[in-house]
Amino acid sequence: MTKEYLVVDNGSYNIKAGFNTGSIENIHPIKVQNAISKTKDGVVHIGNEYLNHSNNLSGIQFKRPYEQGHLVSWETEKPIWDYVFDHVSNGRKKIHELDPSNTHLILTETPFQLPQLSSNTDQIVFEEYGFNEYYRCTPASLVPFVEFGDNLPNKSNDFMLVIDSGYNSTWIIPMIYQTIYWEGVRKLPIGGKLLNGLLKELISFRHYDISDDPVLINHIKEQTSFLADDLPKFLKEKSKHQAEFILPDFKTTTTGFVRTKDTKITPDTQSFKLTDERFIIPEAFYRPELLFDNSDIASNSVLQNAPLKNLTDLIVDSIMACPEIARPLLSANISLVGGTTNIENFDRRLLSELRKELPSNWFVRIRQDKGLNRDELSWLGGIELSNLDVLNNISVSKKDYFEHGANWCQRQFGFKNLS
Amino acid sequence: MLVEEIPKSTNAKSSTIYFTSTINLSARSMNRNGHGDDEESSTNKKGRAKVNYNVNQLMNIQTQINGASTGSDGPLKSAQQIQLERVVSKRIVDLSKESNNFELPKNFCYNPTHEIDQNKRLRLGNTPSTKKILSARRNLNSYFEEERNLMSINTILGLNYQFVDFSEVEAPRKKKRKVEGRMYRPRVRLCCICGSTSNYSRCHLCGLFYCSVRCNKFHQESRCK
Repeated sequence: MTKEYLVVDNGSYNIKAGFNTGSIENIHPIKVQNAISKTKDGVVHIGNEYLNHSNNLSGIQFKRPYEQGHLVSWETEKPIWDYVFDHVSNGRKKIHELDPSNTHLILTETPFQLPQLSSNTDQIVFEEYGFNEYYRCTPASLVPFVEFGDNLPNKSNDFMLVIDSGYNSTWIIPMIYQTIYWEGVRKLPIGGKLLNGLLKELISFRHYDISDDPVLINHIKEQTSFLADDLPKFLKEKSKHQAEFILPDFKTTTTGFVRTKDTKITPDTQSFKLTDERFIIPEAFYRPELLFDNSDIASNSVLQNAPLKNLTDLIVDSIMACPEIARPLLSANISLVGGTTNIENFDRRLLSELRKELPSNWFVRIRQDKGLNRDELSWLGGIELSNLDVLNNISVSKKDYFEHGANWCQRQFGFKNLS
Repeated sequence: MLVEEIPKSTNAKSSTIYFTSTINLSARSMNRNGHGDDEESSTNKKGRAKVNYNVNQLMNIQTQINGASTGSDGPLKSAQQIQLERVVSKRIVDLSKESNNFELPKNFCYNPTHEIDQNKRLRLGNTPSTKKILSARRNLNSYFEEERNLMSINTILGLNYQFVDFSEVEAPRKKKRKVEGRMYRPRVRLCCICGSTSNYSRCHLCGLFYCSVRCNKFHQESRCK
């Protein structure tokens, strides 16, 4: 039996998983919510199961194995992984089921994971599932392996600045010759989850209390948010950017949607008009003070005087922490990864902000590929990596693991700037 | 109680905070090398040695290693910075709260809907160590407390506060002008009621912004506590 390659991008919102099927044309991972949920009727669901269970998701509770970006709770993650592995092989019924003892696993984890937690992951991978070979890395370090379909001159993935904005936080990670340049890694603790929290506060104050409906909040964010090109101007004419969001009535719609010209409105339709809510929420990336201003800590004088850095400042910091010769190369090869970067206008706004901060003779460019989905990029990079011979040199096999133990395994993958 | 904070006034510098701990004794040797003078050891009732940690020193060791390439040194964390981090992290945790947490049922596991080979069926905990991991039910803090390498904790926790950092403003730098230019970017001021830009200063009671007399009145009735 030939060796199989399974790539699992274990994100804090979605798990992206799939086999290397040989071709890289039009392959997509299955996406499973990395959560166990409990609907109002008390039924517990794993992964995406809740979607089939009920239309009315208000009052749903999520239990996620992640805590502040760290994979902490394996009693939660294990059933989800079982669900994922079952579905990932189910989609390929004709071939066979997942056989860990004949499978090479490429798994991602957050940068700077607590070493003990990484070690827990290794133990589960080898001792519980029994994968034959294993490679663990950060999602960003898989991105340089992606073949971008952009027809640019001088395209090379040797230098890359990966901006990975996921559910938990945003990482800025310079990749030089396919390895992470750890001194330049920066983190902004703003991600999709935080934006959801802000949106929840704002809508609950101005419109309806939707605080017990996280799915709806996430949906509203995905449907309506965008980044303003110029905030003061947009604020002045905010009625121009109005969108009316129709709340679910569970007859015509179960998720809610943005009203268009053709939408028929019945007298009992519930809706609210979003104006500045649409761009104020993601604006927190560039003005972090928005996180704190409308809360009970706004009167804290330390906070009022604190120097806050926004996404641009951290990116510039990150580039400047890299070797001088690599800096312009990094700014010219920015890659956006992660679900939160799908917010409308994220790329254009970032470009214009970076141009203001970086030297004018540097090229600032975001690597794009229309055909690639940004939240699948890391996974795709993993698939491409599994085609390369170099993988054999960096992987750990089950035999090695049982010979040398978990601590040795941790040293093979762990971040090494502490020694 | 295992960890207690010693009041600031007992020690000279206001910018240093000490913790006393009876746990994590193994980390002591790391701390002792350069800073033996400041470390006080005493014996408590149970006969276990107490160790006082100077958070500042731990941070400084950390920066000397990581900051060697950037060339910046000097004291890292001021009292101001520590207070700021506390406020910021509380707010971030509040915002990130998605829903109430619930406990998983006992022996909860995934049951596939289709037929699978019973022999292949995944059991919970194949070896003692994985059994322990799978039934741990611990939270992140307990892992942080257990971690012996304090430097790695500082690195990991410090990452969350890279966007709120006083140290860079205080420390003299070559490119000072540029740093200042970025630091004093005007903050956006939004009315807490209607969301428009506000031209007034904060409400002196609650610290929120308002944009007009109408909104001020409204905010006093609703948000101002």
